Amino acid sequence: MLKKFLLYFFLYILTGGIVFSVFFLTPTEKTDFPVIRLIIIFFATTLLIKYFIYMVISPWHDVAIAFSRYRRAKKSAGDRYEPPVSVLVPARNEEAGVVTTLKSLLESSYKNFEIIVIDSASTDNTGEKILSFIGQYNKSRPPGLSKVAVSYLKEERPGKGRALNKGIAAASGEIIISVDADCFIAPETLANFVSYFRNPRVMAAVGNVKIGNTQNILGVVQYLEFLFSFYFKKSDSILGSIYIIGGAAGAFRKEVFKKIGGYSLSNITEDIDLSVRIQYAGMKIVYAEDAVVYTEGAADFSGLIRQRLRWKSGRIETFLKHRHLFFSTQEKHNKILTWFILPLAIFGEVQLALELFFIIFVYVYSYLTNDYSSFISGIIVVSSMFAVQIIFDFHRKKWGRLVLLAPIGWLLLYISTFVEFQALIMAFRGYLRKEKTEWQIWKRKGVF
Amino acid sequence: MNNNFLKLLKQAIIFFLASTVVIIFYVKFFDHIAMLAYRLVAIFLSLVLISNLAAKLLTYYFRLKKE
Repeated sequence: MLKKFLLYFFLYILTGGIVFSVFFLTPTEKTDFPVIRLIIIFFATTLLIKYFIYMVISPWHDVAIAFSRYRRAKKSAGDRYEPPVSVLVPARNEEAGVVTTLKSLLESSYKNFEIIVIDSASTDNTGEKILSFIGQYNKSRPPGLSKVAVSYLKEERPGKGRALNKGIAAASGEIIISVDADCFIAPETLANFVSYFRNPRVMAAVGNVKIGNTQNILGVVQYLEFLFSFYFKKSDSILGSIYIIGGAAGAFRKEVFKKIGGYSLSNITEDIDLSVRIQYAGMKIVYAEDAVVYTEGAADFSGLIRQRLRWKSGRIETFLKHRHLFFSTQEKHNKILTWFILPLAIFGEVQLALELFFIIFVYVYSYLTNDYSSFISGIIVVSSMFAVQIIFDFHRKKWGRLVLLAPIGWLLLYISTFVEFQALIMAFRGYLRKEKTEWQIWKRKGVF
Repeated sequence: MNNNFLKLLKQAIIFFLASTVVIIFYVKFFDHIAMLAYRLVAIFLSLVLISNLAAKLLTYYFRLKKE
């Protein structure tokens, strides 16, 4: 606690120092370092435009959802929509958290569902824990828990895609929801997920994943990072260009798998591969903001770097595999995705590779010229984006403490930029050396 | 008018006043300093705030109408 407080204090002092410099230092002539100044303006402007588009479009996602629900309520008042749902929980060495995940699912307000837990070659006591929980649950169902079928499957060969495919084959639901075995599922999540499938055009939905362990600084960094990326999913959803349905919370119509097949067995990020294939087939993916799932973030730096390495490697692999999706003119493909979002994702990776140095670059320039305008602008933009995302979030009743992090958000994000940069370099090195990235074995603490 | 509506109205007024103060502050303050970066940031923030505020009010409106 004291360590966390001291770190926040330090970050505040650092931010305060820069703000102080703006007011009390006289900038030197603007003609100094003209080339450096031009580079900074170019880089900062591209970032500003990118964030501007996302920040302006994203809030209209809430309007679109509220409007469609209002229209539906008017048209079909009292109509119930409760299709059978199968919830898949792939688990590999998840003895610390899998029981909590199952309990949270059973406390769901939605009743018409089954749970299928797939034990994917676990080497710890995951299987025993699941079986013992199912046995107890079937014998004496605790009061308040809904009566649903909970089944256990064992997959001898490792691989999340393989485990999920086994679950899909056994699933009887019309809608298939996949959640990770380290998650806590909010009681309304399943019902909220299902509500999006009232629209027959919706084939898949991505849930709102939040980091549950924010006790240490790394947890807070990941929390803010997830907040950022899931806020931007709103605009992706409006533009129909979501191409990542994270494994922690994704929902699909069963016919999706009949049409395009199951999860990839070779891709390390089977969820990104599947999402891109859904987009490739011209099916609609939406963002279910109110389907909230809390997940356990990486507890240490090496775990976080390995996670990001897996994401980066998987993304590079998926982009290369589906490269003909870039700038595609086929009618079934969303042009915003193929001409804007996907190229922007590549640009984002390049930007990420440069961002780490860019910030140091800006700092040195500011120091040499006493002109802190670009630095302070960056801080204001990032802090304001955090503040807007936190304050305007419908699902957060209390934002007082969280909003205090906004002024130092730019420094906290710098930690994640550093991690992402390392992962990017490792991913490229691995790609060039043709190394295979494996499904990560987590050291779970079970935080919920 | 029910309590829910008054609560939402109160929130909307607070957001509106807060964003107005922020916008006036940025425009006045940065006009004085007159730097390109600050002007860009002021425009960025103003539009983001207006967009978020308008979207929030419209969302409230449709939610209330649904009820």
